[in-house]
Amino acid sequence: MNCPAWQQLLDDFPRGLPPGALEQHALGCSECAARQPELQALLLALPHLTPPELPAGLEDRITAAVLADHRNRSSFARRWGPVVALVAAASLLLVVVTWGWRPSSPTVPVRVPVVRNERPSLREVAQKARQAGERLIARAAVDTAEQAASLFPPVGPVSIEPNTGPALKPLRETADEVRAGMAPVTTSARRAVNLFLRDLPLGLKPG
Amino acid sequence: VNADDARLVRRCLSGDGTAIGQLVSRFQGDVYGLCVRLLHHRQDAEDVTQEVFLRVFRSLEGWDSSRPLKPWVMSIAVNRCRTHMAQRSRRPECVDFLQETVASPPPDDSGELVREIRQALEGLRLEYRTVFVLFHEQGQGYEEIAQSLDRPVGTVKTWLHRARQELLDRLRKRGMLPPDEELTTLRLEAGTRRPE
Repeated sequence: MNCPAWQQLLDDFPRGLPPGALEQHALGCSECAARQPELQALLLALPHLTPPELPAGLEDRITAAVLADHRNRSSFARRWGPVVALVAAASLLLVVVTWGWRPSSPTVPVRVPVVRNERPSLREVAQKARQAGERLIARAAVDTAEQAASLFPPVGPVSIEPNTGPALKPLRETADEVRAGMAPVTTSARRAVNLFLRDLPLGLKPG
Repeated sequence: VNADDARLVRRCLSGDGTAIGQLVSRFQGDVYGLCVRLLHHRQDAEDVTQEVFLRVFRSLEGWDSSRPLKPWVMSIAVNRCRTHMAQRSRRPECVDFLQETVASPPPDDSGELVREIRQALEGLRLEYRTVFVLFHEQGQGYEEIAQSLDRPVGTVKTWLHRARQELLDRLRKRGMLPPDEELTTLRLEAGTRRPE
């Protein structure tokens, strides 16, 4: 079994053996000649070791599962991608604000006179944080607007023509009607504020 | 082949359903065949095959296009089988599973010796069994197997040699081959013969 020629025969096995290769070899090798019946049996049996049959519909099932997974992952990335980016940016900002800006040390040492105000002051840091926050909010607003816009079908330009005719109702009359309609709400709100001020230990008189 | 693979992978990454079907169709036979031989359970093999392809497509972006695709897919299959076997060993085995694995050999076998080889294979170490199946059943070369298992070619050759040796021993113990004593006699007789 350790005969190198026999090993070579088996190594060549997937590419196909020439007919009578084993018998030819066994003529000059006592070990393989002795084992010829079992080796022959093995050589005859090995080609029958075929891969198992595929179950019906396996390919369709796998393809469907892969496509569904692909769709799920794409929609997840689309939905949560901006949120994750926003959280990451906010975390980064927090780290920068907490630890301050520390520039990396230069590779070539340069003698620089020590300046007391080398690190940015609290005001500068706060200003930077405010600017970064504004940029972040603006970007988030743009992203949100784009996402919201993608939810609705595109609408063409709408032309609004100004009404140049006479007013249907005088402005004063309209204002009175609106005030009358709001009266129950404003009365309730005023009453609530009065009750609140009355309970405050500040000595304020309700209006 | 690599250029074809790379093109196919690019199409798969863009979500092309036809390309995904092609990739599955190209490798499903080898992956499922290996899973059946390593797990001895057709239903488990089906599940693991599906898992393998899900993992393949999830990590397709990380595939090194300078290397062939098949060993990469097969390495994922081998790893998934290993993980599944480890998980299964922690679960209690049910009676149905045992009956299926022991009592009913795969229906595609022909001949008693082939059936015996299959049964003997089940008793081999996982590494030996893997290289034996990849080499003799799937016809893969040493290089390809070495890449699939992430082992040197020399190790693969050693494992294959030991697998055959153990297989023959097991077949001999089951009376499928002449016992060792007879072989010794035959060897002595053969030693006295001279080639003409």
